[in-house]
Amino acid sequence: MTALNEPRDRLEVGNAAEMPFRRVLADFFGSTLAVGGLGALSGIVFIALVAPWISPQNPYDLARLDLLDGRLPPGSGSSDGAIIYWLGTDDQGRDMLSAIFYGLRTSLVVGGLSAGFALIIGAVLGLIAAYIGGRSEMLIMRLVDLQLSLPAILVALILLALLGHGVAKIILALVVVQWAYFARTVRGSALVERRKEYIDAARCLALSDARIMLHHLLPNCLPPLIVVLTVQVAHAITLEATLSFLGIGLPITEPSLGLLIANGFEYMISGKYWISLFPGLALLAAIMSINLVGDRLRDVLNPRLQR
Amino acid sequence: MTVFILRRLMQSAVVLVLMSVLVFLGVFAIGNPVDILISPQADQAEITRATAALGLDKPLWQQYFVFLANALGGNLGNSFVFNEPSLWLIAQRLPATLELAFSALLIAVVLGLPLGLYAGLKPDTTLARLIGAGSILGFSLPTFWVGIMLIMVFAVELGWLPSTGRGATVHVLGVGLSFLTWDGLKHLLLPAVNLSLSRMALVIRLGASGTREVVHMDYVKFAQAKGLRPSRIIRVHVLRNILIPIVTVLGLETGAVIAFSMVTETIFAWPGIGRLIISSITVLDRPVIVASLMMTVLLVVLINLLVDMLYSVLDPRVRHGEAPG
Amino acid sequence: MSADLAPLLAVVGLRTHFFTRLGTVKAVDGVSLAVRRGEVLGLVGESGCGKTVTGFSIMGLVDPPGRVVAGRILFEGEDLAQLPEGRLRALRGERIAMIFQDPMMTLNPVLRIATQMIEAIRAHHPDVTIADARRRARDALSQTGIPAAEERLAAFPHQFSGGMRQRVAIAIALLNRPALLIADEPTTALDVTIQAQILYELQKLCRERGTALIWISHDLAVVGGIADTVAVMYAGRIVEQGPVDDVLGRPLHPYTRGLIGSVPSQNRRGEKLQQLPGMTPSPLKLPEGCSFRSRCPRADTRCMEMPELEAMLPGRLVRCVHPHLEARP
Repeated sequence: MTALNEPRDRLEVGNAAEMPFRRVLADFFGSTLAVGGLGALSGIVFIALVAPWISPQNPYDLARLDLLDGRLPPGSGSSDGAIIYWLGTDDQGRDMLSAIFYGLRTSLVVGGLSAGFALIIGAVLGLIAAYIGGRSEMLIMRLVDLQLSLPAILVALILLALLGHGVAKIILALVVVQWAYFARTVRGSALVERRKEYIDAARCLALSDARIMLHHLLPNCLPPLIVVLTVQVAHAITLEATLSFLGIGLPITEPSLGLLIANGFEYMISGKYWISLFPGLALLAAIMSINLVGDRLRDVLNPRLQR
Repeated sequence: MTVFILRRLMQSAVVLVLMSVLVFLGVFAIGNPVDILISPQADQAEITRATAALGLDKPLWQQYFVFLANALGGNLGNSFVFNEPSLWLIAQRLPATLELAFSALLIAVVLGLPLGLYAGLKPDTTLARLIGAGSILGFSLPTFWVGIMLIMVFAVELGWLPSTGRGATVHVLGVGLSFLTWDGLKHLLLPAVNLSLSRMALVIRLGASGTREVVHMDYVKFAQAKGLRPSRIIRVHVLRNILIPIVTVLGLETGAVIAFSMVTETIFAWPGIGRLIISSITVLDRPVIVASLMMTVLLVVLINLLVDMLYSVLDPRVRHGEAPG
Repeated sequence: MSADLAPLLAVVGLRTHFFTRLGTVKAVDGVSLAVRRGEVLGLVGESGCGKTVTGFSIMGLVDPPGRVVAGRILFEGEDLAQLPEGRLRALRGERIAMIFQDPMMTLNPVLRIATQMIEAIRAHHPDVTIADARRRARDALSQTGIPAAEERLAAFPHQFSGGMRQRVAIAIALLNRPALLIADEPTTALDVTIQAQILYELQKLCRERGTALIWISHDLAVVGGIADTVAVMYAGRIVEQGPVDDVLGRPLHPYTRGLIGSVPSQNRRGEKLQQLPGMTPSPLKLPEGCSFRSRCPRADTRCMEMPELEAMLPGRLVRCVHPHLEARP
């Protein structure tokens, strides 16, 4: 509490659903960085969506690769003159630009799906923990603590070492590693909301527990949840790239930015920087834009920091 | 306080047991558990002999306890590749990893704290905004990519620093430490910086947001009303309060740092546990995989425990049983 | 009581404005008051009237986007509004002290009481040894009615109750024997019984040391019990000022009258509780002329012009063109 008596432009920490959506939007767009981030993100998502149509070459169609075209610097033409390798080629003769487009696609899909599933599982468990309480809460929160005390990369590594390669397995591993963040966040907000009168009112109306949790509690827990979601998507993408880089993530048949970077690592010394640099920049762009957006969302949705 | 310690010890034990079960079950999930203990090159006769000798024909739960007993006794199998006890291999590499991890944390705090403090005290200056943007960058950059870039810039292009390996070591109490030699420092710098970046970004962000909140608190105003100098107010009143969440998070992150050193060690060919894990996975040296993963988990759990104790020392409210905040 | 009739503190025409995104908030807009040595001045008003900001302005603790834009704050021969920060710091905690409303937040939760007290002494008297400072701190704690002072020194704030914490704050404020203590709603956050105790302690301590006291509050009853003079604030200005018994017994300004009339004990049982109609206007949108105009039953066209603070009766200042000069009904 501040001792100054003049009124401030302060949001009440209350029913978040009342917070005018328009005001949130307006606040969000107040930061040029965030707007830039959002723009970049939209661009990247768009590229990922239309990758198969805009790539000059399908980098995973082995028949069309020409080893002779391998390790060409950016701007070179292909030996059959059909396309220009804007960003050069890797050691297999893959067009980097196409590989990056496909790689972005994979990264976004894996990152988004895993975060999405983790959100659903975590949110449900968090709601149950907060609303039902008692034994379930204790059990769930113990699990959450357990999960959170171990580094994500380690757990993911262990799981993948056991499960092997494959997109579904990676997504599974990432979900296991992420659900706890969502559960904890949702439980925290839900605990606060549960004490409010409108929940009592809903209970008096004899609404079912599930309905109360989903229709009344959940919407009011959304702001922090959205922030955590953006952070987690970025984390998931980074984690997948890291694991792929280490050779434990996606198999060689699935395009991944991490794998591209790993491939290019050995050529760094001989100056063929583009094989690692450009996929890295693409990865960075994706993560940065998500983080910028998420960061701004967090500032905008946090009542305490309002001035 | 003792209740607190006991509870945490029990929790840690639970985690360890769970992890050991997970790893053990995983071994069965991969395939024939025989493979974990017997080299794939063995012929059928050897396999049959070893199977009986190692009790691999016994029921699952019995085998688990054998495994556990062996583990507690320090026997985690021999490496297929090196033909030496896994545990010994790990012990050899532990100092390198710890050295790297602590250097990274040190850099993160020493650089991150002042930057975060400044950004929190004067949030509207250009420098503060730069710091904020920089911290988002540090957060977003994937560690492995930064490592590669560092090598490219400092080792390949500029040639200032070596790109691989650990430098000369000096033995202290039987443990080799490389930061005590100039050569060692040169080799340590890039990997440590690489590993520290995302933690530094975290420290900066926590420091800035913590400072921003604390600065508006009544007790800071009261300190001003007492006529204290700003340097004292920042040093004693503000710092102590923001340090608590930072230390907690950083402490919990130490485990992550050790885990992430897998990446840095691989890139810089730093001879630590992390590199051992990755290389053993690549060559399917199963005993070492299991052993090194278990040891890393143990390390992380121990550190978490220590951090919890440290937290209770720093925040007197926790010590006396009241909820902080 | 006080042998010295020259004011210890004289605030003249103080204006403190806040320059926010939404406009300029004139939190304090032309406040003049005076306190003599050993005197107790009650500064009364609703939330948002600017009384706390007045206290902060005197101490020089107004945070941006606020600033003292005009006025003089004369204290012991110096104009506080013109002093450099270094000199102000030397005065704070040494000659002028302040305590706040919420004792939970006034003390730093992670530092021991001893630390927080010793630093207050050594900030102004660096030559005092830590041992001596500790002794002084212990004595100060005992004097504010805290038992087992030695053990209390080593404790942390959360181990104290609210009333105890406020006593500690008072002890800290009076450590260096300041000439003036500004107390911003010090009992508002406490239980009623504790309130009375703290009130009594503070009064006794100030009287013993001859410390002048500015008691900021919205609670008329409390002010009535402790103050010698009272100043009533509304929307950043003083609307009435005078000896406490006079003002409370015979309020001249319609606002003061409304405030007193709305206190339950002033009303007869079974009758409807008197109320001041309307709400305090937002400081961003003050009405032209007299700020109380929109709620005053006596308002007319003459109130479109801001009235001056005038002495309607000897020793009684009022800012109104329709004061209740008639005898109380």
